[in-house]
Amino acid sequence: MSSVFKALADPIRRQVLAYLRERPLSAGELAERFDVSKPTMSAHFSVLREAGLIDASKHGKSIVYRLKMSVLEEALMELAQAVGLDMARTETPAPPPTKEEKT
Amino acid sequence: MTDKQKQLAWGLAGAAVLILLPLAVIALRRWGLVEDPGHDLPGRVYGVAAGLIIAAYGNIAPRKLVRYDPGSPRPARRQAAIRFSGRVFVLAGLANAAIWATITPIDTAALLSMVPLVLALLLVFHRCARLRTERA
Repeated sequence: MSSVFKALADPIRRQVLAYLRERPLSAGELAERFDVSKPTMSAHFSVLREAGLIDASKHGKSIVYRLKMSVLEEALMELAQAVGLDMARTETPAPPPTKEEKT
Repeated sequence: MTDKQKQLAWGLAGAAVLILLPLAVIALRRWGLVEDPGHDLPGRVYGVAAGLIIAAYGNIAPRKLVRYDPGSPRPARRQAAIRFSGRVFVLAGLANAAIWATITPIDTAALLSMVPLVLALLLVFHRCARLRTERA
């Protein structure tokens, strides 16, 4: 449950979930709606997947994300949205290391 | 354990709860451990458990049923219908359980407990019908 709270604490991740409430979207479609780098976006997707709030499936070349939230989790998200829970502004996940950093 | 086996296990667990809880209440009553002045406690416990199970299934329905189907012409509508149904059945299950727990006599509770479930079904049918006719 703590991973769910962690995932819901970040405004970008909550916004991703809000977009996915409308319909399943590809990683590209989601990324172009945010003014953040692709690696950061990918890290946000990882946090949401680890919390079990979204599911990814590969279709051709693109990865499609869909919402996988229970009613209770959705209510928690709405509550977080309503009270402006913003504790993770300080803990935005670090993007995965680039090839240069790995070497 | 595959998803199908998990579903079966959860179904059997729910059925076991519905059978064993009232039996446990009957046993406790016989041993004098619980008071049951209205002689209706096992029936009420069964009703409350059934309502809570409906709410639990409503809660996980959006998690389990929403899939991405690239061939589906209206994935957004399908998702909206399933999410709406989940919410409605959570509320209906909780209302059903509350009626079994609070309304007396038990015959009235049995009758009234159907109201939230029937309303939930009608709401879901209405929503699905509206989503079908809505313009894309």
